[in-house]
Order: sequence, then C-alpha cells, then structure tokens
Amino acid sequence: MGSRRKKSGQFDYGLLLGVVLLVVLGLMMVYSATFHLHPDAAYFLKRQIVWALLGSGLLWATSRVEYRLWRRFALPLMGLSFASLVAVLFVGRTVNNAQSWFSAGSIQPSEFAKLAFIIYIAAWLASKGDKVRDVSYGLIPFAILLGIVTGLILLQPDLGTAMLIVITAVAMFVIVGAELWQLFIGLLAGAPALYLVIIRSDYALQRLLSWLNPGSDPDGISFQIQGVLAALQAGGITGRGLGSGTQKFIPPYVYHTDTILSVIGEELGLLGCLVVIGLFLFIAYRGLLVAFRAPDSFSQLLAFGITCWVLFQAMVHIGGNTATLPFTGITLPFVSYGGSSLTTSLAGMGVLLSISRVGVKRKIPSAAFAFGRRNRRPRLSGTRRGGGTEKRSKR
Amino acid sequence: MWDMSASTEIQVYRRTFALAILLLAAVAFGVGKLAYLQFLGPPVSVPSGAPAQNLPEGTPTEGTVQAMPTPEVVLPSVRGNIYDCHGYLLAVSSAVYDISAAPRQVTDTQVLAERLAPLMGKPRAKLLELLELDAKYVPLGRGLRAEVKDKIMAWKLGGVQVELRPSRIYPHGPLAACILGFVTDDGKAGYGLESYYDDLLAGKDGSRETAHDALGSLSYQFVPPRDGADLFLTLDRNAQYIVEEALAQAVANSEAKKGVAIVMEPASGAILAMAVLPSYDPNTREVDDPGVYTNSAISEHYEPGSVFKILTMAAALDAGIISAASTYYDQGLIVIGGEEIENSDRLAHGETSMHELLAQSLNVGAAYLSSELGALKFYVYLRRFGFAELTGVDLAYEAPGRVRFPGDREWHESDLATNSFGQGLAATPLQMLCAVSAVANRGVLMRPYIVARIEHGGTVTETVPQAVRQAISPEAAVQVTEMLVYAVDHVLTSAAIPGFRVAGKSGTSEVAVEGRYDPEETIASFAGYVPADEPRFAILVTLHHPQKEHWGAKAAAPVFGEIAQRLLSLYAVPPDSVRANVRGQ
Repeated sequence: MGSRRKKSGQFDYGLLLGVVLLVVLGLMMVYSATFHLHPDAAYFLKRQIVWALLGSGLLWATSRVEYRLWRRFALPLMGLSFASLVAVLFVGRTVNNAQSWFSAGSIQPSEFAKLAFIIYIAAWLASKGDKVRDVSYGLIPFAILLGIVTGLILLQPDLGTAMLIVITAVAMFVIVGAELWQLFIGLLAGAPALYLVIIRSDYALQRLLSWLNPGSDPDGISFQIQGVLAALQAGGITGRGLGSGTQKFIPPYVYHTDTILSVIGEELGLLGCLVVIGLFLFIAYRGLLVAFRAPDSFSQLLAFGITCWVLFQAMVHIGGNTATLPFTGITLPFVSYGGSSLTTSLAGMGVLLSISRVGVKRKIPSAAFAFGRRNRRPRLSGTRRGGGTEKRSKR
Repeated sequence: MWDMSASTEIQVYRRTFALAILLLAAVAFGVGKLAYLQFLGPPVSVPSGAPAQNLPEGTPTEGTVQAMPTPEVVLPSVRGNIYDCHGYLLAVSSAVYDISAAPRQVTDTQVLAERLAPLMGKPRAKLLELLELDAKYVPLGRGLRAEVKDKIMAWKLGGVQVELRPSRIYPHGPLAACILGFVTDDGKAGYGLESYYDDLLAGKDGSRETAHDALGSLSYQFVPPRDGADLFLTLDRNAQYIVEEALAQAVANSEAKKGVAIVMEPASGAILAMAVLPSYDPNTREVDDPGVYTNSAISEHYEPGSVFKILTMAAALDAGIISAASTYYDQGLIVIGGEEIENSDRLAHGETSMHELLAQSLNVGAAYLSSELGALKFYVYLRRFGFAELTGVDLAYEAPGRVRFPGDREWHESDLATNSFGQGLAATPLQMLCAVSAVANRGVLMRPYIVARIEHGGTVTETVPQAVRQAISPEAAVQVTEMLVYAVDHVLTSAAIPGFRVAGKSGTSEVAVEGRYDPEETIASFAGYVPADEPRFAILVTLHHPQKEHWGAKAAAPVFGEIAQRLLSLYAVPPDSVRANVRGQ
C-alpha cells in the first residue's frame, strides 16, 4: 500500500442524487402512464412508491454494509438466487408469455439474480487474479457458470435479462484481463448456441423477426413497436406535456414497464429523453470513478459490474424502444414500474455507494492513456513484460 | 490487500476507457436515433384497433378498461341520386354486404359451408375449401342484399364477418348507360355524369375524432358527413327508350358495328336522349371490350360527310355569296387546289338551284360554294358553328374534334373543297348536332347540357340554357331550313312524317382506312329537325360501318323518321296544320 492510496471515505452523494432524480421521474411517468387503468388513479403509483421506499431502505442498508461481506456471502447469495430461478420454473406464474414471476406477480427472481450473479462473478474473478488468462482457470469455468445461469433465465424465457447478464459478465471478464482472443473464440463457440436458443423459441424469433421487418406482424409485437415509434414522433422535441400522452389509451396498456421511454418521449419529448440519458451517463461516470477508487480488485470489479449492469440495461431498454435493438421487454432501471426491478437496482446502487465510502484516492497512471505511437511499450498485450511499466509507475 | 500488479491495473484502466468510448459511441448513436425518430424522420402511422391480450397485473378485468374507440371514425357520405326529367330514378345509392370469414374462428366449417352454398350460389365444396384455409381472412361473397345478410347473421355462427359497402344501382339497367357512366365496387366513378359530377355526387365524408384529455375522459370532434347532390336531367327516360330501341333495331338491320343517336331541344340545347350502341349494363359493367364504356357521341370523332353541306350552305347564304334563288352550273367536276372533286353519282347536273344542290347532295356544288366563300370566311363559319372546340356538355371525356385550318402546316387548299362536304375534318356527333341545331334555332348556337337541376341539401341550382353565339343570321337559317324541307320532301322521303314539315339531310361519309377511303366502309348518318318552322327536336343518327346499306339516305333516314314520329306523339306535338290554325286565330 503506497502513499498514493489513502482512505477518502467519501460517500458519493452525487451518484445518489442522480439515482433519486431518476426514481422521482419514474414515479411521475408511472403515474402518467397508469392513472387511467384502475378506479384508484394512484393505484400503480402507490405500489411504486412502496417499492421505492423499500428499495431506499435496501439502498441504505447495503450502503452501510462492509463491502467485504459481499465477498463472503457471494456463494450463498448465488445459491439462493439459483434456487429461486429453478423454483420459478415450477411454481411461477406466467405473465406476458414468460414464466418469471412469483406469487401475485410481485417478485421476479431474475432481477435479483442479476445482482447476486454480479457479486459472485466479481468474487470469483478477483480470486483468480492473473490466472484468468489461463483457459482452464478462466474462460472455461467462466463460460460454464455463465451458461448455467443464463440457461435458467432463458428457460423462463427472459431473453433480455439473459443477454444483459451475459454482456455484463463478459465486460467484467474483459476488464479483469481476459485474453481477448480467447473471448473471441468463446463468442464464436457461443454464437451457434444463441442461434439455437432464438430459433427454438417462438417468442424470441418473433421479436427478432419483427425487429428485422418492422410492420410484419401488425397484431403482435411489431404492433407495439409501431405504436411506440408513433408516440415518440408525437412527442417531438418538447413533448405533448406531462400527462397528456395518448399512447397509453391504446391497448395493450403496458407502457409503464418495458416501454416507459416511449411515455417519456411522448410527454416530455426529446429533451426529456436526453435528460434521462444524461442522468444514466452521469451515474455511469460516477460508478466508474467509484470503481477506479475501489480499494481492491473484488470491489473494483463489483463496482464496475454494477455500473455496467445499470448502464447496459438502460441502453438495451432505449435501444428496444427506438427499434435500434430487438425489443426484449427489459425495464428502464429506477424509472420503470416494477418492484423487483426497482428494489434490486436500488440495492445495487447501495452496494456501489458502500464501495464509494471506502474508496482510496489514487492517481491514474499516465501510461493508462498512452495510446499514441510514442508510448507503445505498455500495450494491452504487453502486460506480461511487466518491467517497463513498473518503472513508469514510480513504485 | 491490493492484489493487482501495476500492469494489470493499467490494463484495467485502459480497457475501461476503451469500453467507455465504445459505450459513448453507442449512446451517441441512440441519441441520434431518438432525434431522428422524434422530429427528423418520416411520419409513423399510429396503429389502431390493438389486441388487448396482456393487461398489466393489478388491472381489474372488468370495469374501467374497455377497448378504446379508434381515434378517428370515418362517417361515409351518401352519393347523390340521378333522376330523369320526370323524377324517375336512373342511378341510386344503396348498400350491399360483403361476407367474409375468419377460418381460424369458424367452429363448424361443414355446417357453414352447407348453409352458405345455396345463398351464395357457389358449390359447397368450394366454400369448404376456403373455410379450411389457414388464413385470417377469406372473402366468401360480395354484394349481398340486406335480406341475405340478415339470414346469415341470424345463424349466429362464429367467425363470419359481414361488412357494409355502399353500392350504386341503375334501376333501368343499360338504359342511358353512355350518359350515366358507373361507379365501381370500390367507389371510383367512371365515365359520363358519374365521372363529370363526381365531386358533387360523392359529397364529403364526415368524421368522428376521439380525443382524450389528461385525465382520460373522452371528447369527440364530430364533423357530419355532407351527402352528395341529386341530379335531375333533361333526359326523358321514355324518349331515351324510344331512341335506344329504334337505334338498336337499325344497328341490327343494317349490321352496323356501332350506332349513335342524339336528340336535342334546339331552342335550349337540352339533351333529351343520347344512345350509343353497343352498350353495357352499368350495374355489372361486364363488357368484352372496355372501349364500349366510351361515349362515342362525345368522345369519338367521325367525318360528318354530306350532312355538313347544311353548314356550307348556311355560311354561303349568311355571307351573301348566293341567295336562296341562286343557281350554279354543275359540270360534274371541279378542281380546287389540284384536287378533282366529283359528285357521288359521277354525273354533271348542269344549271342547278341551291335547293337541288342540297337535295341531290352535290359535292361539286358544295365545293363551288366554299371556293366562292374563300378559305378565310369558310373557316370563320366553321369556328362559329363550334367545330374544333368543346361544346361544353356536362359529360366526362368530351373530345374537341379536329379541323385543319389555313395556316396549319397540314392544311392544303384542297381541304377547302373536301371540308365543304364534310370530309377531311373530324367532329363528334354532338358537335355536328349542335351545329345543325343552331340552324334550326334561327342561327343561335346553344351549349348542350344534360343536367337541368342540381339539388344539394335544400339548395336548388337550375341550369339556364346558354347561347354560345349567333352563328348565322336568322334569315339565312330560315332559308336553309326551307331547302332542307325541300330535300326531305323530294329526295329523303323515308325521313318524312305525315302532318309535319321535316328539315333534314343525310350523309354518307367514307371512312379513311390506312389513309385511303374505302367505298364499302361508310358512316351513314342523318341530321334533321322537326317541326321545321318551330323545331322541338333536333336529331342526329349515325350508323358506323353498316354492312347492308351504305347510304345515309337509305340506312339512317328511316331511323330518324321513326324516332321523330314517336317523339312527336310522345310529346303530343300538334301537326303543322293545327298549329298554323291556332296561330292564325
């Protein structure tokens, strides 16, 4: 532990503020999208508020927890979410074509699985250290682990969440130092599996096809996307005004979950969407800072993983809502209606904040930015030739 | 505690930054896409009538959430009717039903096919085949009447859909089809009045737009449909029937390929009847050749032939080149512009009066008159009689005819001669009749019209007869009329009607086939008006390519006679002697 590391102990209030703003915006949009669905106009709002409070409690609790505890409980947590993923396949309720809900539709284990899995992956990768570059220590166990978890989620089927877990885990794996060529080959090997999954699942195939040929299936998912695009266009730059969107009156009425961005786009316009995107970028920026200042590689990976998860999920949601990516029915973190999603993302933020509390001030080595010709020596692939870089880092 | 080597640490940074840059690029793309969707891109249509399959959890299944009305409902306007001058319906809007099925929802295809077969007039097996298809929608039958629809609906069988469709019914079938035109199944008007007055007849669709305010309560914006106007024609269905019957008889007798007959009131320009054969039934619109839809009376040219001599004579008299008592010396041949003109009988008639010129229909005489007039004056009279311009009749697709004028590149001096007896120029039958009517109407050319009155939601617009111009002086017109009466009395006796003085002239135009005139292929025509002193009807009959009789005097004159006689009795026109006595008192 050199002089460049000292405990700063700064709780990242900026990060918290970004999250709170998104949650508040989410409450507004959920109310706007659902007031007409129930005799009690605030029915959905009230439930969302309860969950936001619950999530805030979780956030407070997880931010108080010593982050090392997560490492210790990584395996039990993983086991628990694993068990619940299996259980939901047998006792779960089918909502919106997917069997991913526990009783009364209020608990969605795959949402919790995301956080548990990120914690576990972080612990697992950190314990491997430099050995992750070895195929038999790194890639193969990693791929098996990832395969089982995503396989379970795919069985529900929840393609969106499964893909999200895969990209988050792969990003963590890359960061920790995976050999890129190994990963590339791994992806090549995984592509046929993905292809099989999509082809075998009518549901996924239908969504992929409707993304490739918009308007091909006017009764089904393509219809919904068409409506979402029309709503975005109706919003224009400044929107129709909060609460005055009309898309929500058109069936299938489920705009407050996986197409909440279209409600924002219609009522608050492009400006509203840009604010949402800006807040997510801000959270990502603060999350990466937390990761940089993290005291050890586990906490660094954990912070990085949580940041990636939130940002990727937002991107996939936005991509799906703008017909840029296939529509996967994934929620917008903090904003969309849904207890499991909201509480889990808030709990995840709590974990991130707990790491920010123990952050150390650290100077980022200038070599890290040396992408230019003049400083070719410490290249990505040159990490084994440690000598040169060690000198530069003034140890 | 810190368990990463410095090199790994640097790698973490670098890879994080690389990833962050990738992500920023993705976000930038997303923002661009959003901007494109929200205000730069092409319009996206708002889907309507959505499937409400997945209601969100917590939504009560009964009660507040209902299928939302579609944002805009079109309220179709009713197309206006067309009546004849007595108020009889010639075209009326109605509704028919199209029946279709959603095979996936049909519970018992056997029973349905069994029951539908007799009503549709289709074999049961064929219907069954349709119903067994794996499709969302199969059309089963079109244009069913309300009784049939009610019967089908009474079965209450699942998967059967009935759709209302406005339709057009022509109660008199093919009667006056050339004037009426038609409306297709998908509401497009074609030809005739339906096309010419389409905007008026169609009216304006209304709409009901449904809007929601922020609290979700409904408000409607209602634009009532404006129904189409009703047209009342100058056409008399009885006169039309007489004309069509006589023409059909003539076409059959002479084995002509085509026949046109028009009856007009000279004083007003009102068209009482217009028949074109072969015809079609606008209800079914089944024709072998779509050319049948064309109204040859106004849309197709022909060379008027000797009927045109009426106008040459009128012009010469009006210009004062000759008087009614003048004579000319007929040598049987006249050369104008290098072209040798002969009489159709190839005889020289010697010293000939103007009356005989018309009665014998002498080409040499006509050419003599036009050469005396000179090209300048002759073509001025042609224009005055309305040639080479639209008559302005209120029917779709009128053609202006074709005349070569001096100064045109194609005009030759010999045209002055051939034009004088109606060859080498093209006119529509209606143009020809209008010009002859001008002579009947003391020289005043009237605009022909067919709609006498338009009634649109309480507003009534009467058509006022419209004079186009004084083509020739009344004196000249009377003199020509006297000559035409002489012609009918002495030569064209098959057009004569006992008790009435008839003015008329026949024509036999040769038809140019590939630039040459074939004496076997003619257009036999007759134009005239009756009673001569106070004309009620101007009638033109043309028979195209008659195979039995090639001559207008033989083929067309009797048709004129029959039509005129029956119209005189239909309208109870008193004979000349009675009218003279009434006037004398």
